[in-house]
Order: sequence, then C-alpha cells, then structure tokens
Amino acid sequence: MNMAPFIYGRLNTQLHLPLMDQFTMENTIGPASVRVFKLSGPFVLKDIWNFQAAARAATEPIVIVDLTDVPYMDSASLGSLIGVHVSRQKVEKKYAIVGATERVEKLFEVAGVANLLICYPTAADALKALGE
Amino acid sequence: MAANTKLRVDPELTIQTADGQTSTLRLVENRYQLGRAPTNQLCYTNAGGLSREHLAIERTPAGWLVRDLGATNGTFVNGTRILEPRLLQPQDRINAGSLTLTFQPARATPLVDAAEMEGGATVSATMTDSLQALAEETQAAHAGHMKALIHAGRELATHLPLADLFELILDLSMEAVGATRGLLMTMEKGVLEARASKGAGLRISSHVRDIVISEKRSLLIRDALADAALGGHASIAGAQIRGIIAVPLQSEDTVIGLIYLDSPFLIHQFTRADLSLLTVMASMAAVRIENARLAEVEQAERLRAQELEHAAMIQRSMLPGGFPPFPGRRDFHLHAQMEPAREVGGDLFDFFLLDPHRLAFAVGDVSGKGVPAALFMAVCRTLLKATALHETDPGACLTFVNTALAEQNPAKSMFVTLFYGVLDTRSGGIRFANAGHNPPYLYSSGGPVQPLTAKSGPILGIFDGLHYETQAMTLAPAQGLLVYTDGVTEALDPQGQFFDERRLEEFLLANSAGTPRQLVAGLQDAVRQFAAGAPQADDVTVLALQFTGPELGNITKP
Repeated sequence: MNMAPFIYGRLNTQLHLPLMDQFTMENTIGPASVRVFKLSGPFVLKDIWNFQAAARAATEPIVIVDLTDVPYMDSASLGSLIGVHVSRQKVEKKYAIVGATERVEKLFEVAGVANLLICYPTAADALKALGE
Repeated sequence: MAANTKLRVDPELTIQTADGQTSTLRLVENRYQLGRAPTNQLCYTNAGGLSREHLAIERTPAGWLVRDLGATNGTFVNGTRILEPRLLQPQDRINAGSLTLTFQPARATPLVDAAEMEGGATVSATMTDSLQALAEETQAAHAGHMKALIHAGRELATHLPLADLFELILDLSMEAVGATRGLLMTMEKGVLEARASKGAGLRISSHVRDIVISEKRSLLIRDALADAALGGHASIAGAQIRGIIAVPLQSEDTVIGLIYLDSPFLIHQFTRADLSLLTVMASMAAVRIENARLAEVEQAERLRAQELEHAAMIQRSMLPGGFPPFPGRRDFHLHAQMEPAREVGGDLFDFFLLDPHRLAFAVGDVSGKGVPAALFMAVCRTLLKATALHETDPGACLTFVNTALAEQNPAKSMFVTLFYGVLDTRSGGIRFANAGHNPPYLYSSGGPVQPLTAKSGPILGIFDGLHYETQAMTLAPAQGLLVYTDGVTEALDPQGQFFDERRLEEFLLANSAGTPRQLVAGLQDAVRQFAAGAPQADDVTVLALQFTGPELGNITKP
C-alpha cells in the first residue's frame, strides 16, 4: 500500500481554544429567504440540541451553516451536521456548510465525510454555487 | 368616619338550601334569575324540585318583585303559589323547589357592618397584612382558621408527587374558604400554566391574575361586576363573575404561581378573613411546592447518575478484559485499555482469533455520549464480531455492519468511526478497513512513527449502500500498530491546548521500545498528565499490537 509521507509536526498544535468563549448560534434569514445559522465558539455535544432543533425546523429552500468562528467541534456536533445533510436531502432542499476551519476540515476528512458534506469557503461562494 | 355613622345598605335576599346552608345576596342589580341552569346568576344545580329557569327577582319603581318563569313545581310566596309577578314585602318567604328565599328590604346599618360589605370593593393584602389580620381575628373565627391551617400543614407534610400536590393544595384552599370552583397555576419559564382546577366553567380573570402576579398581592373582590375597576373587563363581565379571591403562591420574593377562586353565582361570599387565611396557606403551599420540585430534581439527578453508572458498567463489561489475552502466544503481543470519561461515552475495542493464525482487532468511537452512545456501541460491537466470524474480508465486513447500523438509525445523527484489522500471525500481514477513524500509527523500536492514512470509507451507520475497501500492509517483526480514539488527541490541558497528533507522535518516538502494555499505560498517563486535572471530555482508548514474528515463538493453540 502507499504510505502517506510522514511530516513531523504538520498540525498546528499551538491552536489555543478560547476556553472562556461560549458557543453561540445566530439564526437569521438572509436575502432571498436563505436561512443562516452562524455558529461561534467550540461546538460540542452540549450545544447540538438547539442547533438540531432549529435546523430541522428550517423550511427555507437554502440553509447555510457558517462555521467561520468555530475553532473546534467534536463527533457529536459532526453528527448534527450530518443530520442536517440527511434531513435536507430527504426533503430535497439545499444546504451548505461554509467557513470550516482547518481543524474542522480535518475532522471531515478523517471521518470520511468531506466529500459528502456540501462545503464552500464562504457564504457568497455557496449562494453562487447553489444558484441563488 | 365615626363608628356610629349609619350607612344605607341595599336590599338582601337570604337563600337557604335543603341542608340548612345559607348565603346572603345583596340586591344591587336590576334583575336576578334563579334555577338549575348554569346561565342563571343564582345557579343551584343540585337543588331538588328546582326548574332549570325557575324564577326571577326584579327591581321595579314600586319595589322588588318575584316572577315565576313557568317552573314545573311552581314558586310560592309565604306558602301561596304565585301565577303573576308579586311585589315583595319585608320578610317575605319565597319557596322554589327545595330552596327558601327570604327578602330583606334596604336598611340603615352601622359602618362597621358595611365595611365587611364594601360595595363591590376590592380588598388587597400582602403576606404581612394577612398574618396580622389572622392574629386579630375574633376568637371563634381564629379557632376555625387555625384549625384549617393546622389541617393544611398536616396534609402538606405528606410526601406527594407534584401533580398530586397541586390537587391537594387547591382542595385545601377551596375547603378553607368554602369555594366551589378554583384554579391553581404555576409559572413555568415565564408562562402561567394550569396545574389543578375544580368546578365547571371557571374562567380566570386576566386582570386579577395580572395584579396578583405582578404586584404580589392577594385580592378579594366581593362583587366584581359592581367594581368600577374590574366590572368593565371582559374576562369578568363575560363570565358573570361576582366574588373572587386570588392569592399569589410566593416563595420568598418570587411569585411561582397563584390560587384563584371565584364565585360566579353569589352562592358564597368571601370575607377578609378568608383572604388572610388563603394568603398564609398559599405561602405554606409555595414553600412545599418548591421543596417538592427540588426533591424531584434531586431524584431525577440521582436516577440519571445511577443510570449512567450502570451504563458505564455495562459498557466496560462488554469490553474484553484480562491481560495478557492470549498468554500462550508469543508471535504477537496485544494490550488495550479504555479510560472512560465521567459521562458515559461510546468507545469500543475488541480482539478475537478468527482461527489460530488470524487475529481480528478493532477500535471504534460512537459519536455523542450517554446511554444512547453506549447502546449504539454495544450494537456495533456485537454486529462486528458476528459478521467477522463469517466474513473474513475486513472491507466486506464493514460494508455489512454499515448497512445494518444505518437501517437501525432512523435519526441519522449517531454514527461510529471504526478501525478494523486482521493480523496474519504467520506473516505479519494486516488486512484492514478504516471507516472514518483516526489513522493508527505504525511504530518500531528506534524506527520512524508513521500514520496509516489509507481510508476505506466514511463513518458507519449513516449512509447505507456504501462499499468499504480492504487495505493491506505488513508488519515487520517487532513492528507495532497503535490504534486510538480521538479522546487521546483531543484531550485538553487547562490552557485549552489539544494533546494533538504531535504529542502522540513524540510519545511514540520516545517509547517505541516498550511492550504494548507499557505503551498503552504510558500513553494514558501522558494524556492524564497533559490534562493536569482538566475535565476529561471523552473516553480515551488505546490499543497496541506488536508483531513479534513466528521465528520468535511457535504458535500455540488459542
């Protein structure tokens, strides 16, 4: 098998989590009836319930989950994003995850869902790609 | 005003029921209708011989008259059945079914009496007022109210679930003041919710409710319809409410709800003493409600902690124990350990021989925590082992497990990452499949440390119909593989830094000469020291497998 080249210290371990930062979620309607969930702070198990409930309740044709200010998320919160993916696909409505940090992107890659989740660098990129 | 000042009092009608109970109605309106139907202002649903709409008492320029409304059993005045309306004289006795009504004309009376009957007046009181008023009651009334309070205290001391407690408090309140209808409401997240109610057709006056809640005052309204401030409110006028008594359920300075009693048909008139009594009782009840709530929360917490403890115990008992697991084998060494987080997680590890030459091993991590994660982990581990014993190809094995898990996971929000490998103990060859799990590390004494990045597919349990590929590699003698969960790399120190892959690689470089047991225990220690007392957010699971090669020891039977 092909072994990936080992690059010592390739990860940014100097990432300091803002422990004092609390997770927050802004839930707004943007132009063209786009529902935007702007998440900020570490996104972990204790924070997923409100997000899940709000995301499931969204009936707009496009939902954007903005992770620009999420430095870190755990497997439970990844599960909640996958829940968004599954539920939006079920009702044939669009969604996009935008602004994923390097660490969050790596989580998507390790979990093997980077190619399944619909991700864009910015909300503008997402709206352009989704045809709005 | 001097005590001997006389006050003109309206005419009154005293109504006596068959069981001897009497109530006095002050005639302030122009017309009153009596009968069994709830639409009557004077409604006696259980009075024998009374028609649904039996009679009316009407004000005329000449005085008050009584009119029969076609009652089956007739209306009698001083023993004579009336066929036409009849003007009432002082002390006239009217018989309607089992009821006896006595007419009293208007009279002058000392103010001290009138004060008890302030025309439609609203009396309000605080808790302090009420205690003072109770202390100043006449001896007879005091004895009666003290009896009611003692009774309430004794009843409230009984251990009851909250729902039953609300019913009990309302029953005691109604019994204490002789009310026939009542409602108990509590404040839940800023919204008043009905918890207990008695009597048909009760509609709470929103105006009264708001005063009690916002001003934390008890209210007694003798005749709401006649009250200038209240009579105009639709909630009162619409329901023809007359007497109202409403008290806050107040614990210290916080209003946690209210008790509301009303008397729509003027059957019973509340008194100031009733108000005082109910205010004190409500205060006792509020404390009891708060205590019951705390007890329920504590009980729920205890149950939750107990459930989690059981779940953790079940989780640990499902993992293989007893090391070394294959004491007769010298062609490989294996050690594994899970350090559970305080809250039950869903990490799993497993290993078992498929045959004398093939060792299956797996490490997985279920998303989320708590009992659901532990149950999902148990299902996953059982499925994996059952499948592995029949399906030798790791990729095909995970393909089957994924489909089975996805079928049983309708919410699609829980998943498991899993690394599953099979070691050929003769050659060191490993065939494996990785479903979204952290890449394991290859290590050897003095050699490099390399992540095994080959993937087979995404996480298990969400997307059905996926195919997982089998990957292969070979361990050289003395080379090992360390499989771990993200509880290692995502452990946090008090400053908020991750342990991360870098520290894991450094640890392996420094400790690669150790046995699997030493590596696993050493890494768990390193993570613990790094966290320096910071709460462990996730399970920390490590499995180390070292291939020693057949030349280092002949295979014995498993």
